[in-house]
Amino acid sequence: MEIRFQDPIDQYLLRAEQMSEAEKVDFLNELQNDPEKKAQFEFTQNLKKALASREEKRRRILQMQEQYEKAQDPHWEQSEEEDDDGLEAEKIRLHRKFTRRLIRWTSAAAAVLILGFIATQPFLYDSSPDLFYRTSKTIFQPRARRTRIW
Amino acid sequence: MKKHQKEAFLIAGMKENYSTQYELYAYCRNYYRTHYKGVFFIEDSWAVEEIFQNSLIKLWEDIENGKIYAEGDVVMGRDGKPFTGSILTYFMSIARFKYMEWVRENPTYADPEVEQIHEIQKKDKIAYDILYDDDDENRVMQNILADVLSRMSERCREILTKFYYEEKDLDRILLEIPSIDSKNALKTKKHKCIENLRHTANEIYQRYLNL
Repeated sequence: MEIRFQDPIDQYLLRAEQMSEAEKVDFLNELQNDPEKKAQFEFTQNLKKALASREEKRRRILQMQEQYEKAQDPHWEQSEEEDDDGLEAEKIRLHRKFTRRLIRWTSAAAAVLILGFIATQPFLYDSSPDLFYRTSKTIFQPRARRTRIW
Repeated sequence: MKKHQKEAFLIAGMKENYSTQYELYAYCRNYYRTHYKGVFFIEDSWAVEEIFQNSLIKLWEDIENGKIYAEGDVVMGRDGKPFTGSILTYFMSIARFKYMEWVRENPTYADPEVEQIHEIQKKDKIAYDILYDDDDENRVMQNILADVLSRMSERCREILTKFYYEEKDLDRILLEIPSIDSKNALKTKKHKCIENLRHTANEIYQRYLNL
């Protein structure tokens, strides 16, 4: 199959109105004199027809498929409406996501502060055991006063 | 209305009437949905849908080309004799042959049984009769081409459809498919697609002639 001859074939099949009568006659003569070119032309013609038949039906079938799915699914209309409001729904979804993330980070920061505070407590005060744990001997004695380290 | 009367009514109205076309679509679809697993097995739901669409296109073309037609309440075949079975049985046999072609293109899904069936199918005239046969030689080629087109790469089908069906020129197609760099690259791609298509179609045509 000659790639160079495909252009005149396409031109004749798709844009014949752009060709002069003389060009058309030359083209048809070339086909008559060369069986290979004629076969190439007939193949392209069949391809064009096959594509047209297939595409027309395929597009119609897709339309029918949509109608069929609508008939099968009672919630179809509702989901279509949801699709129409898709942008609004996306905004709400993003806002909720942001709020959730904000709450999560705030909670995490608060947890770190509280844990940090608890963890550093023993070092803030003089924590010798006798100051904290009083035995029966010392229970009635006045408690030693806590003293700050700094 | 009896089943054969309904089928004759659907076939008679197929050429011009959208609501009848839709009725036939739903009639075949309902049957296909419940019965395809008894005829073949594919996990890929996209392929199941694709086989259904291609089979329906084939049935539709057969009706359009007079291979199947209605005479009163009777469905007739191309040989002028009444149809022996239901059109649903005919539809499912198209689907089965389409599936076999699909298996050949997607061998990972094939199991030994299917491969065996496919070997038989290569020599089976019935498959070729159902899928391609016609009185008109050009129409045989068009049937083969439609079949091969349905199994072509998405990119090739897109280029050929835009060029020959939508009648868009190469500059326009280039704008619509930005992944192709230049007009020359698009032209070469188009030519390669046609070459592959011609090669495969001719192979099938030769097999068809030798049966």
